[in-house]
Amino acid sequence: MTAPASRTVPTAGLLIAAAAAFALLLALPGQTITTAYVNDLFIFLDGAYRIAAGQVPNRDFHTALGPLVFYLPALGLWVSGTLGGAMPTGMALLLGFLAPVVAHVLASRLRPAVALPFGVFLLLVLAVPMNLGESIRALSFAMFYNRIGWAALALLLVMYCPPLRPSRRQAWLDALSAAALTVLMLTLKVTYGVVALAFLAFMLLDRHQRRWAGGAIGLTLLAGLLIELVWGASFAHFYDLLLTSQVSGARGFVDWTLGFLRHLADYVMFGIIAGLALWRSRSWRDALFYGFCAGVGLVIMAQNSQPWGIITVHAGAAVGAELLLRSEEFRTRAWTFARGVPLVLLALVLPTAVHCLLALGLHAGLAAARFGEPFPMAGYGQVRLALLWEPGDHDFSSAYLASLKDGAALLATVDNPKHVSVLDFANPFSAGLGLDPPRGDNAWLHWGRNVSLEHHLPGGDLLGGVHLLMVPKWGINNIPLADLYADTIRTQFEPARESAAWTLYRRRESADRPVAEPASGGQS
Amino acid sequence: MSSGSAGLRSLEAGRTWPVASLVLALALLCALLLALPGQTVATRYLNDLFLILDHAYRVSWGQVLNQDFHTPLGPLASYVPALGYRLSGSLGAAMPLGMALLLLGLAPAIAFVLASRLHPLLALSYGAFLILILAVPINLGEGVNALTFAKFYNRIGWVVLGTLLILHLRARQGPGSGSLDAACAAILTLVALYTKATYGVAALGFLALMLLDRRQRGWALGALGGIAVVVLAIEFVWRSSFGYLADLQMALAVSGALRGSWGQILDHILVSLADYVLVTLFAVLALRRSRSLRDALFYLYCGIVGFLLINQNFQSWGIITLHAAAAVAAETILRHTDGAVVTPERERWTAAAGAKLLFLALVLPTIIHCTLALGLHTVAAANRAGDPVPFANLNEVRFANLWTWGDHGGGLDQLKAVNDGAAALAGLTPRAERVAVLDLANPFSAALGLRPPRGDLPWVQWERTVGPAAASRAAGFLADVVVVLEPKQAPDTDAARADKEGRSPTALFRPVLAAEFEVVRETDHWIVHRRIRPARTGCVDCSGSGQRPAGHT
Repeated sequence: MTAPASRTVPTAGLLIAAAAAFALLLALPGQTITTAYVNDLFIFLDGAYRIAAGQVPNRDFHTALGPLVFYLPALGLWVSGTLGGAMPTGMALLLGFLAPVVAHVLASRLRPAVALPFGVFLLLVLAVPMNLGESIRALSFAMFYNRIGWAALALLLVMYCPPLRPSRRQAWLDALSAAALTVLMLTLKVTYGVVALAFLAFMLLDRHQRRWAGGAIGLTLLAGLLIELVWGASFAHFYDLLLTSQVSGARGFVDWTLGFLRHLADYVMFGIIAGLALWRSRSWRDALFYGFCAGVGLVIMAQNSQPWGIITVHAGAAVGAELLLRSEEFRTRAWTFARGVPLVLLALVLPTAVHCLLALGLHAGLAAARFGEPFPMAGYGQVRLALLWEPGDHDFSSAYLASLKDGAALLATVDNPKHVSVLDFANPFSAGLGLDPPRGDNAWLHWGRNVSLEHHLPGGDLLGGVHLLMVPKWGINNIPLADLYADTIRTQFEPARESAAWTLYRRRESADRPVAEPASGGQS
Repeated sequence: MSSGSAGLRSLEAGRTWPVASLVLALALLCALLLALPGQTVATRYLNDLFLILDHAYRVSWGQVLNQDFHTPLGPLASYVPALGYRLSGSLGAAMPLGMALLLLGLAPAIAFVLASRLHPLLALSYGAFLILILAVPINLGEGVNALTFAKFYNRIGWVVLGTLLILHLRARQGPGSGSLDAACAAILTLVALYTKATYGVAALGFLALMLLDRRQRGWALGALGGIAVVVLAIEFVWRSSFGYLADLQMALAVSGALRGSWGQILDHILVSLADYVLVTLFAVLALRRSRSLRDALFYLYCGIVGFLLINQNFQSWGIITLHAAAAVAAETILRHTDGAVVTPERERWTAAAGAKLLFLALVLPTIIHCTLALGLHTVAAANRAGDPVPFANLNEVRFANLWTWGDHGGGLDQLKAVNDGAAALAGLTPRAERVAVLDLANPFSAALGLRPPRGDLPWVQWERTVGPAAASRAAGFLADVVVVLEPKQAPDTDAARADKEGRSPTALFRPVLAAEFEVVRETDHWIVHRRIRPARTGCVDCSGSGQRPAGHT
């Protein structure tokens, strides 16, 4: 795109074309098909709906995930007009936004034999509606932010490689790309963002690349200030992060060891490439970089709910392959081994690329065919639960959706319901029934992940802006939550209705805090 | 072929004897690591371990497979641990020593085949891959801490077949040695046939495929002839070939040739998607050079037969025929590059150079994984990790928790049930003997030193070894049995519901139990049935305590 040499042009063009194709596969059918993690999906659909209703993350509801996790589906909802289009369209738009960055970074730094397979792999990781490491029949947008984080971080790490043929605008475009990726990660899931900042600081050590790294840090700070000016909830976000990290922050040696062993095949291929490259370069900084890719990726993976997929390892391998091939260019007797290295990189990325392409194609096909049952409630007409060749957790999902149907029927008996909250994992009712969403509650409640007996929001804060509280008799983590907030429910709410699956509580008239209260900062 | 270091350069020279001796040395090292501690450490699948040890124990009583007890597994699956038991006198050393001996027995054939067919780098890496798979005490595709000798016969089958398939390639240098080729092919196929029949059939199919190659037809015919002679000789001594076939037929009838719903089959294929993708990449690169229809047929055979085999196994990952296909493809790519005149073009990467690296990338993860697991077993065994199974005969069998919390609780429950059953048996008068268990394994004969029954089915698993198709043989299996232990199913479980609907071993044997046995005891885990009348076919001369297990000397 930027380099004058003719051979970079097809790389950039091909990558942009691939991104466009994947984006269309996702967005065109305008449907969300899911076979797993139904409850996770509701976090994002509810979030998109809250944004559309004028709420602001961390100001009007608590979340440890970054604001972009809600704004991205909200953008998809706004463009497509349906909740079923929110996730696929949101992801397609993100692909469109990132495609030029992918094209610039990869085409300016990697030769086509490395850039094309690695680039297509990254785009597929972004596009596939599936949690990395799971079966292609486990279609789900759950934890989509992890895939974005991995792809963005991997792309940023490739910038360790000096440009092949720097153009005049190179430093500026590099700084812009790096800043865009870093801000994306910071506002999506802070773990990735912190690693990105650490990497940028590391890049300051490189005399030749210091300029863009410094520029990127400056732009990131500027963007942070701008965002705080508009959003004004950075501190509230920080407190939510603090609470979540107290609940589920620490991971230990055992997690890392078992995680490493699960990714042994990837680490071996990465080790072959990085080992050969280091043998040639004998550079401490290169060694640090490969160590960073291997180690930091493992730590992030241990934080995620994800059976496989340390994508920083793939980034390190791509950089290693490129640097190794460059080192061979100026040798009269090229090293046989080194010249085969792109094949190893291909072996590293091709299986996952095929896997993701199958899943993406499956989702597109099922979505186009309107396969499966639409979710209950009018708002979810374009969101479908599908039963594929093996049931997986289909029994659980359909039972969960049936209980939601029951809950919706119960709410229909109430006049003008609003500010409805659910004392369980997610709140599907506001978006599904088009109700005015509550304020001050949490975007989701996952026992042991962002709420626990020791660390949790006080009941008055969590439920202060809630008018109707739906307490399930059967759910995902309803029992510990009901125990935890039993006092608040007893003092501030009164049972109003009951169905087979739910108890509906109404705020007591005498309760002293009927009005919505912002969720921000000081938890008095 | 210039390489970066002197060591690599000597590998490139293409001499076969250093490669063969390195493979043999590795086999010796692995055998020592396995056998020296003289202990079995398991972290999961205790039932499978008990099943294997029961087989070894029965052989030590002079029982003959497929006559005195029925199993769909081949005789080697019993005689390998039985040999280890006989030599060591310890059930804990039976599996490690048996596998160490098998390793030493097969290593020369593996070394010869790989060294004569593959580039030294490929031969060494693939040799290490096969030797370690044979040696490692885990079920392929499971974690390094999932130590167990369960399903060891599957690993034998994969390794033997994975070696045999390399013979698809013609010898690297000269015309090759037809008689050695034939001998190796015959040995490998026989081991497959007598370990697990599915692998034997796959091996015979491959030999038939080899008849299509005019230049290799000679040794393939020789191997087939040799196999026929040996099979006849074995039948002359063993006289159980038809019993083996009958037991296989029953297993086939109850479990089917292709197991699982089509959805499960699709999922199972997808588990190996990465391997299939890489082998396809290899095969395409190789076929572009060789343009051989026979090669294409070979790759297809490896891909399809490999899946049919794993479909019969209790194993999620590890279709080793794919790795064999990759080795053949890599060698094909290298041979075509050696012959071609290549203009050194700077800045270009080459598939030939990549073939070696890619093959290394394909086998090295498994090599490391298996090395870690084998090392872990050796260290755990040498340090007497975990707790011994609490019976005098099984003191060298240890159950450990090596970050395997998920399996440990279940294993302890299993041991509790074994203890409970042993206590119930100890309380019987007259003393219990000829005990059968209607479950996955019978640990009691070996644990308590009881005389095993004859003619029964030691491995009872629904739709695996028994099913509705086995109903006619149920009475026969219990003809010599005096005491039957029936596992109790916890109420409201899938097992209990299946039992009620008649889809359980207990349901299958219930008519016999009702007619010929009475319930004499009930414990937390077991219902103890004892024969009402003396056994029909119980032999007079071997009743009582006259005969001692051969292993105890």
